[in-house]
Amino acid sequence: MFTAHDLFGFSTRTRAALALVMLSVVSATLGYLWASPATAPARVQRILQKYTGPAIAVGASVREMSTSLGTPFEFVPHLGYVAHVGDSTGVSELRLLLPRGKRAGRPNDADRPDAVEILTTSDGAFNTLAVEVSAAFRDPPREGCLTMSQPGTYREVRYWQTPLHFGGIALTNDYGGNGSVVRPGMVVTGLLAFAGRFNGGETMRGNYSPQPCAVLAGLGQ
Amino acid sequence: MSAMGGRVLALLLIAQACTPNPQELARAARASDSLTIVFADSAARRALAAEPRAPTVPEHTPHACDEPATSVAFLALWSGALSLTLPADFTPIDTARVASHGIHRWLGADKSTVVVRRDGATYHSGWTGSLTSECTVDIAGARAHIDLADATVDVPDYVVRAVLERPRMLPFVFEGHARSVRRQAELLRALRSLSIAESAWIRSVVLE
Repeated sequence: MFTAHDLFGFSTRTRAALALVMLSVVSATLGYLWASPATAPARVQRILQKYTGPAIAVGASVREMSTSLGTPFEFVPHLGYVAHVGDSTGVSELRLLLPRGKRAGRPNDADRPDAVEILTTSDGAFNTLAVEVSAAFRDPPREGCLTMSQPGTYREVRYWQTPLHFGGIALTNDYGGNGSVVRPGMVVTGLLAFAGRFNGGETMRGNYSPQPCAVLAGLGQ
Repeated sequence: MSAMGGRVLALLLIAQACTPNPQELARAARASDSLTIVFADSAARRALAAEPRAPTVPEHTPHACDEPATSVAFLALWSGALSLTLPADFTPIDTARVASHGIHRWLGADKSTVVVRRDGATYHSGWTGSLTSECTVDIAGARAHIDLADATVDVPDYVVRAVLERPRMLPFVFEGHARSVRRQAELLRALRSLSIAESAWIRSVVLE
């Protein structure tokens, strides 16, 4: 019988040492990945920065972004940081979303978001963004829905990921069949750029379901 | 603790950190949800504030059927066969030539105007804006259809317009443009004081 021992001629002691080295490498790699900032692929950052400017990036520190943007961020426990910035409608919100394990603590300038979200009420924002993101990913989006705290209120989710799932973009907008609207005709549209694989509610920071909102609202399909 | 034990502990900690925590996720969802609601409310308020304000009818807008009481001093004025009482700051602006054509005009200190003329005009005309009320009453021995309107665009323009009719006679039209709702009430009261001499009606007989 031909065995590894015959092939490499390693002794039991040598094999144990090799196993220990391999375990160290694996644990160090996992530790690094866990502790290091998650950055999104260039394609994702480009789309985000088209609307936020180059100061904002997934994985950059809050200190860097706040300094570059010239706008202070407010810490929101359990979520991350938020800033109000202007757009053509005069109303836009920028959120730096912290990864799990980082968002329950105290504000820290060194925090690095693993997702960045912008919200706007600009007319036609969703269509503009959907065309842009579809062209960038050359792929139709996957659909889902966020169930909001107010009963009968949902937000539609469409998301795209890079082929190896290093990051992606999710677009959200108010579901048209919501029981109540804040203002007729006004739609809150969100663009969320994230690092890593899309992970449902964890990525969206919400009560996510991989079903169309119409299904959750009991209207169809 | 041995080196191996430390590594195992580190791996366990990493694994725990990677395990979804429903409570933490629920807190994040609540925070995100609340922020979105606040953002939507704020955006709605801003949109409402930025909206061009359509001419509105204040609560104290007079009704065309009213005979409003006002606190300003009125003066009785005559212009040919017409007489009416107007607020004391109104002065006639007719030239003799205009008056000879049966057009009588007065101008107030705030640039409110009153015109009385013979005209075949119909109801609900003479302004661009929204009719706020209308009424048909008897004034100066004639059937008078009164329209109150808000023609405000850039400058406040509250309209009092009445068509005074007698059978087979050319109607008289009273048209007042007020710069305020209060002034509109004053012009409505002035309209009720309008008197037209019988001779003027006779001159306006429509020949058949």
